[in-house]
Amino acid sequence: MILPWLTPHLLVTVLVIVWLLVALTVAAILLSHAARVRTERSQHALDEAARPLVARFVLDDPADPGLRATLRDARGAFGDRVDERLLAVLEGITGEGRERTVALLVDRGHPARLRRRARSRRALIRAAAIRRLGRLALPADADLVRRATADRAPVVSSVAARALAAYPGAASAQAVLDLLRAGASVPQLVVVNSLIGQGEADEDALARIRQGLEDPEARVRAACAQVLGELTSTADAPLLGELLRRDPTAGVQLAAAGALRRVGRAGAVPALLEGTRSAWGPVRLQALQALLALPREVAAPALAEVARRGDPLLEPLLPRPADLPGS
Amino acid sequence: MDVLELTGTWVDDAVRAVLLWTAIPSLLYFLAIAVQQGVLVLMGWIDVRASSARRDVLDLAETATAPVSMSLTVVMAAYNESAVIAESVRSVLALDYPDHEVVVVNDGSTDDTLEVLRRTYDLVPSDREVRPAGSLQVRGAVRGVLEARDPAVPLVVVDTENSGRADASNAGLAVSAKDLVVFFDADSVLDADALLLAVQPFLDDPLRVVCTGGNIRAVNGCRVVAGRVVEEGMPRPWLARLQVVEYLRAFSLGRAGWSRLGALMLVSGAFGVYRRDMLLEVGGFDADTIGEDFELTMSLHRWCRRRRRAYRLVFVAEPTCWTEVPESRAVLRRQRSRWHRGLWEVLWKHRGMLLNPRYGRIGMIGLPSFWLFELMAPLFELVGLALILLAMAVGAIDPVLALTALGISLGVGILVTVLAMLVEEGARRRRTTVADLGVMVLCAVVENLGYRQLTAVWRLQGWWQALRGSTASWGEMTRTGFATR
Repeated sequence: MILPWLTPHLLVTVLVIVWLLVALTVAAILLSHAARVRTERSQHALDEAARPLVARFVLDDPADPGLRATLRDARGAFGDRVDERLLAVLEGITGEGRERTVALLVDRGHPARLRRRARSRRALIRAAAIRRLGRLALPADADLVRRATADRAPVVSSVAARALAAYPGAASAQAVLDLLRAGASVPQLVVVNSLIGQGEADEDALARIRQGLEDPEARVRAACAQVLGELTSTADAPLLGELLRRDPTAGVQLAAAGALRRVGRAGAVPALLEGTRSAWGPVRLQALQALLALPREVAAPALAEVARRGDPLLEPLLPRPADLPGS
Repeated sequence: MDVLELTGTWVDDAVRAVLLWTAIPSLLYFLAIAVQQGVLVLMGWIDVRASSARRDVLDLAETATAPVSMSLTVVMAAYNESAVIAESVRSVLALDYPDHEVVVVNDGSTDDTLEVLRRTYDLVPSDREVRPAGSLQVRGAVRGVLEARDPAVPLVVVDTENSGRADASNAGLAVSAKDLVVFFDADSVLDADALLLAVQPFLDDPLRVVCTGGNIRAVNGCRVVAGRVVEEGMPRPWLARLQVVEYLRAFSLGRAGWSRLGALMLVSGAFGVYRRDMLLEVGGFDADTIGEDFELTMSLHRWCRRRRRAYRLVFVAEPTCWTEVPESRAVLRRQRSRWHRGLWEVLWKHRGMLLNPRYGRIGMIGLPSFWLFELMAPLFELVGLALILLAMAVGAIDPVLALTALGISLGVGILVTVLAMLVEEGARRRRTTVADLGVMVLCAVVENLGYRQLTAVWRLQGWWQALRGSTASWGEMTRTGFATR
């Protein structure tokens, strides 16, 4: 016997276990599929019923009192779909229609339910509640949403960062930047979009973002540079140029060069030219694109110098020499 | 039981001797594969869950309109793709992405691929040039560069002499001028949000992420309208059905698991997003290799590791590319032997990285695993099966014991596949029916009873071709065209 411990009994036991696992997995697939299909069908049917009522309520001016009462008193699974439809329309409406819709959701007791759910043990339920509170944007929930940025689950902190765009201000901008500072795994896009929203809406938030350019944490500096670029505040071009020249982190240089692509001025040309010499390809590319975004007569000498250097990465982007002024 | 009455003969002695020497290594090999699959299942599950959670957080509509993005060139190398090229280009042009252009390289097609493009998009001569830069080389002579007359259509067509898919892709790379480059097959379709999802890792970590790969699925059996998959379904031919299950397992568990382990070994050429500057550094695709996508991935690893760069190659489970899989045995045989030959060539080319601590997880985990469990697998599988059958025939092993061992092996193979299905079901990406799920479970069983062994033979043929050094060529495949589905 080559392997004496490999007894038929052991083999049969392993065989039974493996095939049992196969059977259990197949059963789990079928159960999961059935549950999904059932939920989707039920939601679809309820949505079909709720959608026209919500649309009529939002579009009618003044709202039909009977319709309002129907929607206010909707309960159970149908009530949940009514809440969902009302929240969905909040994304696309402003003014009196929005206020009326928010008032109806408050009457339905929806914010209170969301606040309870925001304390749930399950991260996805907390995240969903915070996302919805952000859509409602009730001032009373600002602190709750800000606190949620410190949630241990990345999905909740990410959703909270996004929701803070509805509560622009120095404290909210700070909460988002703190999130970055803590090294949380939040999608960069979420952070930047939240800060853009806040910077556009509130001067204090913008001031806090500007301060972030001097933050010791590279991720914060990079995000703030990117945001200032998106807000097209040309007043920040010198600061961004300085960041591109002096910052030791390639990620920050990249963000600064990208920002200068949007807000660059003639004064930024030396910094951008230096950026085209960076050891990092993406930084060189962004710096060149920023030069190309400037009026040609301003950037022509710098572009000619880049062309002389013969950087293979940048060459395909350079204009032909004949297209440069003064050639 | 000795059905051949060989007991006591030299055959009996030989089989017993081989069994004596191979029993423990075979068992260890089986256990090692099972452990590897187990780890990949676990890692794949974690990765797919994280990916789904991320999708919940990302608002893609917002992403599509946000100014924060990286510009992107989609390069499509086309050889005799007249049946699908117009539709394919149209669908790529219509993808949700704020700043992207399409570069089609007509690699000396002998059909009317170029004419179809010229007619459909009203092409005119372009000022753009194919300018190989850095280590990049383009061998095929460029016959012309064209672009759409309408400047609102960001389409460039490079017409070259036939020089192979890898070289054609390099020509596309040489004409591209955006931050990122996506290589994409003309016979494939992308989900509308695929690019937006695939670039997210670059946005989060623009300097470290050098490449991302998306999910690939079989388009056979799906309903495609205007270059988009609008209804998922299982194909009718069993050969294609078996490949649906194979792709599901390879991507949902394999790629996702390797990516989570930080050792993604292969980004599929059918849908990979690369930083352009990195491609120029490594010289793009190696035109002398059949497995050019695998070779490129290994080159990126090697380049970054040698320079001690902090870098990441990421598999993103959410973006999906739908590709046509072979429905005939002849085409599938060619494809599999070509893949295996490519695997052999690339592993041999990068043999210096094997078990070399300088290359970290790639050298110490990824490559040994590919040598053992990918390259050698068909050999071990077929030899092992033959040996067991022979041993049973000469009565060297108890048939009940042998069949039990085969049952375990079969069960583990099926278990991995159904776990992949469960992960997919949990991620809620597929829109399958119960009937399709049933067919897939059946495929998970059936593929172990002949199909796997058949592909093992084809893979060995690829190995043989590599050893003989046959010349490389495009893997031609009969296209049905999306509109006919």
